[in-house]
Amino acid sequence: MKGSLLSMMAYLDLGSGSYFFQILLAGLLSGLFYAKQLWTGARNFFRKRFVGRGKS
Amino acid sequence: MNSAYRRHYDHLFRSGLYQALVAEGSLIPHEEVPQEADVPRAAYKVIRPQRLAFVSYPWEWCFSQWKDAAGLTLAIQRKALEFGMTLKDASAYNIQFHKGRPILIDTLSFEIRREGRPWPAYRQFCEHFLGPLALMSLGDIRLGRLFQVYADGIPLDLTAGLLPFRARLCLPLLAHLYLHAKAQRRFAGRPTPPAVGRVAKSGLLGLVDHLESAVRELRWKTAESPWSGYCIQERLGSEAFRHKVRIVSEFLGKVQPRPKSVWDLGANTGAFSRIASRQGIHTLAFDADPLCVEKDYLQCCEEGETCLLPLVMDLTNPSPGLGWECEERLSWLERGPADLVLALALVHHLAIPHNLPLAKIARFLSRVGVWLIVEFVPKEDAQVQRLLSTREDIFPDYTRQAFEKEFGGPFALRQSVKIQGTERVVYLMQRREVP
Repeated sequence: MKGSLLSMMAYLDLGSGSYFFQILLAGLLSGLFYAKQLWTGARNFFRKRFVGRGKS
Repeated sequence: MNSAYRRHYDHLFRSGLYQALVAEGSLIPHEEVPQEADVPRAAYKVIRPQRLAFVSYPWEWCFSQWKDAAGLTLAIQRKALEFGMTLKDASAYNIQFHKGRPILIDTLSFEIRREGRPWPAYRQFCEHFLGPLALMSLGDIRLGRLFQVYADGIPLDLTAGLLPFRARLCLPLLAHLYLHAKAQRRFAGRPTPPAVGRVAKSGLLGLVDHLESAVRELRWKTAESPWSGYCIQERLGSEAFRHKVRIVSEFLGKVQPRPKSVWDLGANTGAFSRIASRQGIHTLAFDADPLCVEKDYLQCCEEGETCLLPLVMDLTNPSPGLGWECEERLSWLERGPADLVLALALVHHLAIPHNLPLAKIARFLSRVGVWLIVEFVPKEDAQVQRLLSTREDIFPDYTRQAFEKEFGGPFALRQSVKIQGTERVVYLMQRREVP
């Protein structure tokens, strides 16, 4: 019964759930993405500065 | 191409996205061809993409092939966002293996990104890639075959129900599969409001980044399967193995005109497939064992092989025609025939464990290809004895004479050579033309 109900719901699903969920998730991940970019940028900057100096 | 797509197609070129993707080998190149008189008036252009040597389907891929296809889809979406576009679908069928690497074959998958609009293919990506990969990695490798039943993607509620509890401990899987499935269930049937919320470009990039890390973390902890550890050299002895390689190479050289396609059936990890592929012949290496195919594919990647494509295929139950009118996805046989078939140390695996008469095996092979290099392994051989050790010998007709008689029906025997130090015989045969 549960299975048939779920498949009926899937049939009716217009993708609204995925749509709402993505908006919510993308909002959270946007911040994380910026933080990651910042971290990678800072790491590369220091790596270049110090590793570069060490080599020279 | 319909006129409705004109704006998007023109942007694909003007933005430089098409050129960038083709240059890095991620998108199939195409040429525009003149419109013929019978093209509908609504048509904007007619394009002819470069032809693929073979179309494969996701349930025929090994784990790493599926993972590479997922990675490529996300890399293309990231690139499309850079150029002001987005992928409007993320179908696994849009990815094919061409010259040894995955490639997007649907040029019309791109559309101009509308500011604030979520990624329309997010759900499809989860159902076509992330879900199946998670099932194969954390559940069982054979669960990839579910895609054959749910040909438009494995529903997320089913994926969530089948995954072991520990999958919830992985944050990306918890989000993209479990919570996503819950949201689908909660909002099922409700219409999507036109402007309920916005997704910034950074949000889309964050989503792609998160999905990429989810895919990257999924691994198949491979156990040894009975066949993946099968070393033909060890079983046959290195001298016999070298002789068999020589026989196959010589037979291959005798086939005229030179074959353009070779299908190696029961290829294991591709030792004999490579005799053909290294001569520049497009070769498909089929094996029923996903681990053998995985090893074969990883070797192809490592060595940059462009003419060999390993695929998972159970010859006793090959891919059928599927989808609308059973024609959307072609059956395995419809995708042939090959110019040449290699069936080395295969016939006894069909005849003995599956009770298949030699006549039926011969007829089947004559439908697969025009030329045939086939090996007969007699009953006295250790490998056949191993197959017989667990069952009663009800195969009095499994003899060399019966083999030659039955295969002599659909095929003309051209040459045969006995492998040194064994009782095995390799034959070169050509299919008889049906009058």
